[in-house]
Amino acid sequence: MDLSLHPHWTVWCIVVPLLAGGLAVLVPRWGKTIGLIGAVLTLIVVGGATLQLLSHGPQRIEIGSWGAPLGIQLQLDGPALMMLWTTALVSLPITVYARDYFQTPQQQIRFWPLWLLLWSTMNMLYLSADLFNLYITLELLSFVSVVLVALAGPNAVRAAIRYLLMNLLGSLGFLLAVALMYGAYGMLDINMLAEQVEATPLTGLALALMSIGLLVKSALFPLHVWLPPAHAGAPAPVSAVLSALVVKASFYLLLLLWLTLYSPLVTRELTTLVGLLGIGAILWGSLQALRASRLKQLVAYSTVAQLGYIGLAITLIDVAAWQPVLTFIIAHACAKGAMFLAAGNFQRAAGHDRMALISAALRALPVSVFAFALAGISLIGLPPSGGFLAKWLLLSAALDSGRWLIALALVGSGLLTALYVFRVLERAVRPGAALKPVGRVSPLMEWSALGLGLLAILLGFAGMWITQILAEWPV
Amino acid sequence: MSTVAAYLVTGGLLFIIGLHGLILRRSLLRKILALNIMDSGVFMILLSLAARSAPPRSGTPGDGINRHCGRRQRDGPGTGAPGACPQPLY
Repeated sequence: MDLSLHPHWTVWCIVVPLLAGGLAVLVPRWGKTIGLIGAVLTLIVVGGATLQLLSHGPQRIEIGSWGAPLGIQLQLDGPALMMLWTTALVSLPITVYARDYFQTPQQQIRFWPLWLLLWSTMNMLYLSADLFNLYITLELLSFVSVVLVALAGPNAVRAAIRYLLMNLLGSLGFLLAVALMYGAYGMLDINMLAEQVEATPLTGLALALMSIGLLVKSALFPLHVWLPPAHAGAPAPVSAVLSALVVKASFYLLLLLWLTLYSPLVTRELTTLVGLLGIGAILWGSLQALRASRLKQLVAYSTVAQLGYIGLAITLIDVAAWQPVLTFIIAHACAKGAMFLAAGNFQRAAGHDRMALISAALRALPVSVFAFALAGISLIGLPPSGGFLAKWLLLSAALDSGRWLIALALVGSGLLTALYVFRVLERAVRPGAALKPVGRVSPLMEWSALGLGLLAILLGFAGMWITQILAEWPV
Repeated sequence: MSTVAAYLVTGGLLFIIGLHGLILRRSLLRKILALNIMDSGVFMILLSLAARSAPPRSGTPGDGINRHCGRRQRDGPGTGAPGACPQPLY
């Protein structure tokens, strides 16, 4: 097939989930079917975009043929493609899971349009090359996420409001920075700006505001306070998406801006500061995960800790740029998705997620326990998992550039992760009777969790592929 | 330029006042109001940045404003005297 006949695969990556979401609003009764078909179609379209990248190289698309200073451009390159794939691969099992998870029609009606819109927004974020458009995607991302958290019912409203306020704070910081950049340079297109940016105090202020805004949204310690209640309180598939993908999207954006737009201003001191925050996140998150009294809280604090690794990886962007960070993002997305889905299964079966009483539910659901264990292996970083690959890349970059503290933090944190993962797994092998499930856990819910867990392990073998894509089509 | 600078500074102050309220106030309603004040600060900055180079009211031939107002005159009768640019309602 001649792909030049279909030059808009990139645009379809945004449009397909958006259209499916709109359709799910119009025909709420078929929400499940539309969601599934939309998810499969999006995966196919991302495949199309990949073929296009393979045959034509990086793409810039002018929407409505409006040129760059005035119009909004979409850009497809290696990192964006990796994020598109991560989102698609993690979202598909979550979609399958959500099909059986939501029981009341009211939840179904609300979930499907929002979920597809969230997907479309994430894809738009990866592909946008315009600062103001990026602000819009960030804003959409937070609003949709907040409503999805609130789907859990009255108990989650408090967490959702907190999430909303913190995220709006981040968005406003970003917007102010966009205004400053526009005031200073009179343009918003990232590629054109990147050629013009100079290290002036005004640009520095914009960089600071933008970075703080994005770090709030990425929940890097100590700006993480909104994350544990929101991610632990949301419905299981929503927790999985938020932890696996949404926080990564803002991290991806931070990295993109630091590596392209602000590269003259990003100093060693700045990246070191983020690295130190990362170490703080690993210590604090792991400690809280060890103390957590609820399973989903444990998994949410584990996200806080794991986001610390991305902070650590950012200190290495001068030697390793995209590769370790993106590998880590992908590995963690699969593992954390699997973990939250499995945790959701235990919660559904037991009717609660209190650590003290969860072991009966663990014994009743061996497949989910297996999924949880596979995800744990990847989080700890044992070979041959995706987590191992990511940590190995980070470790070798740290050692090559002689940053021993980072190497030490990487090795030590694996141990901390192992402690809280085994805190759960140990409860699965305690003797006792399996419980009679309170709520029904369908086989699909168990197998989609397992699918993601397997993906987290199999990623360990995809290292070459990731390296190739990033080396061949950098930003 | 000094007027613009004054508006810019005011916008920045509004942003900081809102930030202060958002972090320190406990009531949800006050927090939301504080967010709105931050919003207003950002909008003020955006507007005063745009005001640095005011576009001509009745533009030169060929620029976007002029074409737009010419079309409005053709489409809607009675929107203004011939040759004058109709003022938008809001």
